[in-house]
Amino acid sequence: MAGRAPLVLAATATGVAALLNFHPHRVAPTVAGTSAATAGTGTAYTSAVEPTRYGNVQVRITVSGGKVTGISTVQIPAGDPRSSQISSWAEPVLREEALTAQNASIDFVSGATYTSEGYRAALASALQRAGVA
Amino acid sequence: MRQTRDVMGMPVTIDVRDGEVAAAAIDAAFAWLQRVDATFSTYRDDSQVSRMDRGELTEREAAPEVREVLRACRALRVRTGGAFDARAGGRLDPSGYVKGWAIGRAWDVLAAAGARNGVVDAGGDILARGHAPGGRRWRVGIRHPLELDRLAAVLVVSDLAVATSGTYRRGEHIVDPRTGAAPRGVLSVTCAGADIATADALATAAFAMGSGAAAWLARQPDVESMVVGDDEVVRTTPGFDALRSAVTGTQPDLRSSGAA
Repeated sequence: MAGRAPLVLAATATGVAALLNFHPHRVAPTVAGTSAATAGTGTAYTSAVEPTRYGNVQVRITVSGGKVTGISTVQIPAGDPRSSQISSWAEPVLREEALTAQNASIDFVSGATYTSEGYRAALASALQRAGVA
Repeated sequence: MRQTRDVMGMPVTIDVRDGEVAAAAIDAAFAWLQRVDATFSTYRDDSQVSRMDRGELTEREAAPEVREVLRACRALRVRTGGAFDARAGGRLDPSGYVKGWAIGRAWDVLAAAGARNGVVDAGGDILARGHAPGGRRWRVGIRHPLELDRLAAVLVVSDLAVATSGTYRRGEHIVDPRTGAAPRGVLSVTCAGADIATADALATAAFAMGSGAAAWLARQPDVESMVVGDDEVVRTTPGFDALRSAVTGTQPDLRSSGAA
């Protein structure tokens, strides 16, 4: 979480609010969160509770001058190794690697080599050659 | 028991590895897919979709399955910001959703007959259930977008759907409905998830998004994804990487181990 904070803090308040589906009418005075490091000055907004397949997510942000100056989690799924993915909605985690060509024993292949139309045409042609059509 | 037939304009393979499942169940699953084609095909003038497109049939009058599919297509259009659109170009064409949906239902037909372990593969979109013979998980290769006889990745899966959209499959026909142009920046998109209809539709939509595909997919909670860019960089979500096998070799994975 901590490593992601600068990305979040750079976002505009409206962007983050849209992303996390905030309900800005729930304006509350600035509240010092459980984590002092994330408490900023400004107005605090608490998100709606967002159910995810990993559990509920709820966060509180502090906004000052249109910028997010602090963020803390109110609820976050615990105990799931993938919960870090949930906390990275603002900037999704992607791993990059160079494309390589492999050979391996497999049961099925995803991604076909033909176009649907091409397949129909080829099938028709094959049937014709076979004297079936 | 493995059979491949030409249905819905593509080769469809049904592979059931439960000895007690009757051959008639596979026939019934193929019959279902043929019924889907008769109902939804845009190539058949008398399909309900073609009749709706000509204004001869209203959605209210259409079969419950047609209404269900069109509802799902509308939800996907909203979810994808218009990158998935069953009415792109002014024609009604829900086939980007129908194929995956039909695969899922075909498995339901097999499961009702007792199938627990098997695969339905419709033109490279794959639903793998249970385990392969020997109790190992199913090995699904992701076709390399440039070298068509090789693989870009191998997944080891059980109870998972894998769908790939790319330039090698209907490439000329996937356009961004929002612009009408062929997408740029992406060679192929693979989505893996519990629901084959969702995985297939999101792969199609993300491919249409072009260079924005990977970032958009990474925010979707119900699929893991791999995007091959035209810069030949592969971008994967952590969950997708967790499904990948070592490059070669088989991995014993006995059902009794309880591994997912």
